[in-house]
Amino acid sequence: MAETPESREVAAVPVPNGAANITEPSAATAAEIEEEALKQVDALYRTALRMTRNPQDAEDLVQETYFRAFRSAHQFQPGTNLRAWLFKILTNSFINQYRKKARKPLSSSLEDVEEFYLYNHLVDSGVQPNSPNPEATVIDQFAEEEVISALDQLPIEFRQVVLLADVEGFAYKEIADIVGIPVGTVMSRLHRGRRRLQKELFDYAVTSGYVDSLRNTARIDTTG
Amino acid sequence: MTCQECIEKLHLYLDRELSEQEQHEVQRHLAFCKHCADAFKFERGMLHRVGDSCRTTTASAELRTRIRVLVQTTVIVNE
Repeated sequence: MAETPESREVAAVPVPNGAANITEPSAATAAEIEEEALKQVDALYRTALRMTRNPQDAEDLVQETYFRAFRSAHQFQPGTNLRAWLFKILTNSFINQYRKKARKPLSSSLEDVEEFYLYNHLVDSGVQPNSPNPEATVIDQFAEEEVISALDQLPIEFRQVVLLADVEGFAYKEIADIVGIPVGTVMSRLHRGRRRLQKELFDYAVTSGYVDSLRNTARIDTTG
Repeated sequence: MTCQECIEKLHLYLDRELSEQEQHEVQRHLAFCKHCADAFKFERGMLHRVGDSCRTTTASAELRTRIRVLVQTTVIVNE
């Protein structure tokens, strides 16, 4: 981005867990916050990359996140979750950017599929989903980029909660706070997102020939 | 617990969001229902694979440098 951080309007930054906007002296030193915050660069970047699906946008988003975080570090309450606080700033920065760029509301439409979609479809295709031989399972046939590409197919509001839960390991309550939605909404988006992801994976496993090759392997195993 | 009741708790169980007692009830069902146990095991493996695939991404050295410069030039209003 050509503009300097200083030239940008600093939007309201979320205040963690009911921390009031009072200038109460903070026990955490700036150096401590810095040190802890810098440990999250990889986690923030990989989340930003999967949200924006563009390395340059992701880097800008992470930089924006740190800029906002350091500018409002006085609002951070020691003892609260610094990691969740940074992710919340990342999410808010993303929403600001996204709305500016896309100027369209989030689409909540997503065709839901049944639970265990991938597992059941593999069984129906004659493939053993849990093979004792790890190389013979469909999940292990996928390259990393293929799993990521399936994840990238999800609409942003579903992708985001899957990332926070399955990649970053946040609890439902933390995700609710980070995204600014009720816990019930976190659950429904996460569960639907995971089911939908399985459809993307299964469709890919069919078109890439993984299903056929595993079915043939299974046949050889039973006859041989 | 029926299979249907168990499947309804799939995500909460894998995410450790159930109470201790509920967690126990699911485990008891999985101990004797191979059908559910296999499907749960597969689901857990799949979600781990998703997490592992994304966690190999790291920030570039340039981004780290940019953030360090940012830290040094941003006044942290702390006192």
